[in-house]
Amino acid sequence: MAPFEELEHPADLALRVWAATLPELFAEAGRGLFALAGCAASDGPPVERRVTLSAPDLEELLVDWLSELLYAAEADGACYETFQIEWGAESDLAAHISGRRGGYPEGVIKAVTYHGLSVRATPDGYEATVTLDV
Amino acid sequence: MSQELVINQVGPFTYEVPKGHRADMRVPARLYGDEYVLAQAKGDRSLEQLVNTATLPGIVRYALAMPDIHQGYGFPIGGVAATALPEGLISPGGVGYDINCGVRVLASSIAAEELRPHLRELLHDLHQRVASGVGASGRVRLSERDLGQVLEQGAEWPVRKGYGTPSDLEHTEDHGKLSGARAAAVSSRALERGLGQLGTLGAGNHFLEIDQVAGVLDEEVARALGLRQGDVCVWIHCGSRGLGHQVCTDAVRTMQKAMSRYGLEVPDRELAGVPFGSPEGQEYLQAMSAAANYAWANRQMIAHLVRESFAHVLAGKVRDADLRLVYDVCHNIAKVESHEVGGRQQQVCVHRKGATRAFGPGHPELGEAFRRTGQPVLIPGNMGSGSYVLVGTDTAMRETFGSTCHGAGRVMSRSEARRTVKAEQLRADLEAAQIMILAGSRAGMVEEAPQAYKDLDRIVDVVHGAGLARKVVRTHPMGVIKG
Repeated sequence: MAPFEELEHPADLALRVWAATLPELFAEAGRGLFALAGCAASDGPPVERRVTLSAPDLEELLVDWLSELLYAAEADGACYETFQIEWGAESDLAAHISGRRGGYPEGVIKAVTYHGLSVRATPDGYEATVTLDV
Repeated sequence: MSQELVINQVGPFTYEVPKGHRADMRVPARLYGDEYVLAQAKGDRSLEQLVNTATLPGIVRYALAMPDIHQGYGFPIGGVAATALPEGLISPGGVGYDINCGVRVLASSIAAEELRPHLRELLHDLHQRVASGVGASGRVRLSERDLGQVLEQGAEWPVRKGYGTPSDLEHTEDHGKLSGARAAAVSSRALERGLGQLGTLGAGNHFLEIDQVAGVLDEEVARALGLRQGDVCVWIHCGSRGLGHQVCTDAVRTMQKAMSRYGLEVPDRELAGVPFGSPEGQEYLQAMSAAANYAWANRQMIAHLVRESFAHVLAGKVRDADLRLVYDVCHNIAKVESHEVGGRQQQVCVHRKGATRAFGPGHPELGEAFRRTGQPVLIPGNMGSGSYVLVGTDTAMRETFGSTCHGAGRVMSRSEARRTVKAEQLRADLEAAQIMILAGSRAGMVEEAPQAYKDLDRIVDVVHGAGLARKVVRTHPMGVIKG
């Protein structure tokens, strides 16, 4: 079972993610984002990017991270699948992301919102919830 | 909500949460609805969001919600709030991520049965010409210079390029352009996203629909608007695409950081805002206006492509394939307007988040075509039930800052729709009702199934009964294109 699930939301899409570490949490959030977007398998050319982000707290960092992935997906026409994340200070990250062009359903997810946003520690690691505007 | 909601019926179609219900409310909160609407609203967080909206610094008179109310971000969807200038808040949460998401209706002189033998060919041709958001780029690839002009000229730009007529501008809210737009206020990332998406629908609840006028409810106004029983009309529903979404994303981030400098607090991060007259407030207004102009240019381009398609497919097959613009409305916007507050006219910043302007007859901002009728109000329903055209009223001017509802409002989550609605059954049901559908994805289609939405007839009955808009015609789908 994937370490993310879709939550009920009256009008849009909402995601719950969990993982043992923060880098894994953010990687799974990325996978959850593309799963909810309805990414299709693609044998298009590979594509990769480097992402560097800094935010005042983990919740803003999560919004910034997923927003960056949305932008990259639209710009590259790509579904990103692999997220190698290095954690800097408390809410700084640097990541190498890779995927394949084609298969990205542009326009399905409009934006990452702050509604219902949380990133918290749990006995098993971390859990996050985030709502996506459709 | 952490305390039990106090909400009292104060009129046949009006409910009110008194200002004293919560200590941080600056004004009462009002919901336009009936028992059905109220029951639906109590099922999600929309009423809590309406109460939160009533806490906005500078808000005047009431925080309002239309009967298509449902849970949003910051404001509820269906929310309307006006703030006093210049200290009152301007909040991107009162506009939404899809800036100037709106609706355009084109009328024809083609009888539905005259078109029906050609409907399949027409839908496929439209689907080819009007790129959806799923895996496609816009037909119009703009240069950076062109994009800058689009952002500051709105629908005027495509008309100047030959993709429409001056009459189209006269039949568009604000003539398709907010003059306060400034392209330099839009981030480079948003600009990048806007270069390749002009002329595209997007996905989600966006659509292009061929309808027939199924019922005329006000003969005189229908005639004035050029809508006739049995004739074909075209509905276009879309917004500012990735550029607008990015403008809102940028603004929410900026304002969350800036608020503390102004000593402001709001109960919901998505209500983040700054004083209207502040540098950040003006920057957002200029960028939002630019995104709104992009959306109007987008719908103008799509209308041109629809006209091309009708001319191409129907040439020689129908008497007259021309399409005339009835009107174009936006339903996610913030604008400076003059309204009565405390017995005197004053400029306020009206936020409409899933709500439609509904100016009444004689309003000086309406063109000559609508001075007598009031502004057309275009209310899309769902792919099965069809839609309504109404006109604005003086009551709306007095009670709701000239506003009314924008649609039906969802009652079912997207995940529940995917679990419970079978795509094959939905297609069969639509075909049985003589409705063809082309959808970009199965998920996108079932998520927008008719049963996912409130009963539009009841929603429109509320706004008509409350006097916020008057019914003119009912339209029924023949063919639907979903992104």
